[in-house]
Parts: sequence; C-alpha cells; structure tokens
Amino acid sequence: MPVYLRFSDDNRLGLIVEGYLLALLNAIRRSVILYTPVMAVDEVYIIENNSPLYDEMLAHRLGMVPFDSEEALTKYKRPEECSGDERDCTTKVYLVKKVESGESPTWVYTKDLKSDDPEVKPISGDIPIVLLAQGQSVSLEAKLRLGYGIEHAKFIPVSVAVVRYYPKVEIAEDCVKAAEVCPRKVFEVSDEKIKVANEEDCILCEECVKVCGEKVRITAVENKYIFELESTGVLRPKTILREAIKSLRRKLQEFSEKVGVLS
Amino acid sequence: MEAKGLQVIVMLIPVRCFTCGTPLADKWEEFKKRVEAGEDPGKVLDELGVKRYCCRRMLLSHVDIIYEVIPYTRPV
Repeated sequence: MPVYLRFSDDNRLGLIVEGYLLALLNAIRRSVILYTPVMAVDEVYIIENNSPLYDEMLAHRLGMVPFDSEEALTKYKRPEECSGDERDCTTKVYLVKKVESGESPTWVYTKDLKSDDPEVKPISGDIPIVLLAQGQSVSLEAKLRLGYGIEHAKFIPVSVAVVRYYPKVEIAEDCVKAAEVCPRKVFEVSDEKIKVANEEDCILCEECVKVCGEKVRITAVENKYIFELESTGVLRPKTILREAIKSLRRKLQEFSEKVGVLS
Repeated sequence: MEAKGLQVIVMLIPVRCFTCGTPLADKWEEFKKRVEAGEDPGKVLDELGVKRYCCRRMLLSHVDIIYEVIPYTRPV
C-alpha cells in the first residue's frame, strides 16, 4: 500500500495514497482538523483598555492570532490532561502599549506581545491587533493553552485538508476546446492537438466532457486518492499529520480497552 | 481608502479568512500600500500568495473603518 509524495513545502503537503480505504483516509482528514493540538490564546485578563475595540473584540482578535506550536507540543500537556492551572498546561503573553497625548494614532501589532515562553510566539509579528488614538492605552495578560479544533476554530491547524479521487484523463479523439474550458489546466495544446499535461490536477469536474462529449474520458482510479493539506503556519504539515494520527490511534486504543472490559 | 456606501461592519482587517482560516492580517498593509500606489489588486494578491477566492475577497473588500471611528473614541 504505497504512499507517494506529490509536493511538500513549509506550509503544504500533498500525498498520493494507494490501497487505503477512503473511510480511513477521511477519518485521518477529520482528525487533522478536529484532533490536532494547537496553541492559542484562551483567556485574556484586561487590566486597562480604552482602545476603540471592546474587551471582547480585543480578546477575540488575540484568540485568532496563530502561535507557533511546534515546540509547544512536547512542552505542554494536552487539553485532556489539564483541568485547571497545573504546571505545563499554560503560558502567558503580555501586551502593554500606551500612546501619549499629542502622538498620532498608532497600531498595536503582534510583535508588541511579550511572551513568557520564547518558543511560543505569533507566527507573524505584523498582524495588527488594534489602533490606538492619542492618550489611549491597552494593558492585558493572555493565557495560552493547547486545544483541539473540535472546541474552537482557533485551534484548527489547517486551512485546507482534502481527500480527493485520483483522476484518469483519456483522450480518444482530438478536441482543442477541452483545453479552453478546463479550470485546472489539465490539457496542453501543441500543434492544434491536445495532450494531458497535469493529470493529477484534474478535479473530475467534467467541464471538458460537456463540450467534447465522447472525445475525452474522465474517470477516477479505484483505491487511489490524493491527500492534500495546507497548514496555517502553526505546525509543519508533517507534524500535523503525525499528531492527527496519534490522536486517532489514542481514540482507537481507548475504544478497544472499553470493548475489552465488556464481558 | 475612504469608507463609502454599504459595508460589512468590520472595523479593522480580520486576523483570519472567515471561510478557510488562513492568517491574512499581516498581508493587509502591504496590499493596501501597493494598491494605493496603483498596482493591479489581482496581481498583488497573487504575489502575496493569497490564492483562494475566499481569502482574496477578505482583502479586496475590506475598508478600515477604524480610522473614521477613532476621532469619536474616548480621549483619555
């Protein structure tokens, strides 16, 4: 049951998977979205806020800020192991910013956040949090913890997680129109003839079949799938996949233990 | 960019895309600067690596209303 790499970079991972059940791949895909631990701001203590945003909006914006969780996975406990303020469950970031009267309005960015743990920091320092007018100030403390995507969207590590059929594109007869209508640029035209250039990009939309009819044939290869992930930047794609499978395995283990107890 | 007509009430650029969750807010300032300098918005988005149309509309349709609001907030 081979697994091939289709593409891989800092944020994206594409796999071609053969011989695994679609249901299993979908379970992994959903585990990627819902059961991968990610670090995010969860509680915000506002000491002072006279910015244009309400406390709640400020807290929400901080919550959505993606934090690098790569090192945090080994350092902090998972949400099911934590029930409160135990050690290694949470870390804090602080934000103190004041614009003196007479100064022009100033943006507060994620780079102004001071982190207790230098390994848990926003993935980008240029995310604007709020704009302060003269004389306004913000002072707050935010608590971060690991969480699962099933609880809140801020804990979801991916922006794309897709399993799709592996396409097979066959050209029976020449039909240049197919290259024009194809949204994924699967075909290539040379000397007034089409040939298949990027078969794997085909999404089986059958736009080409609509204009060419029998001349092209689009089918899905049985038992072969393309698995694609795009990380939001909090974790590397391979880590996401590994952690998701770990979580899934733990759930199966728990289930099998429960079944074992039944007489 | 001046606020005119009907707008979604989002005072400042959302941190993430509403639909897919990709962080976008860090790209806003460069996008705004380059579009105001006269570049084609579509081209700027391509170069910033904003690929999907859910993310593209976040930047394309955004207006920073916070600049209009800020004169009326509490002076301290």
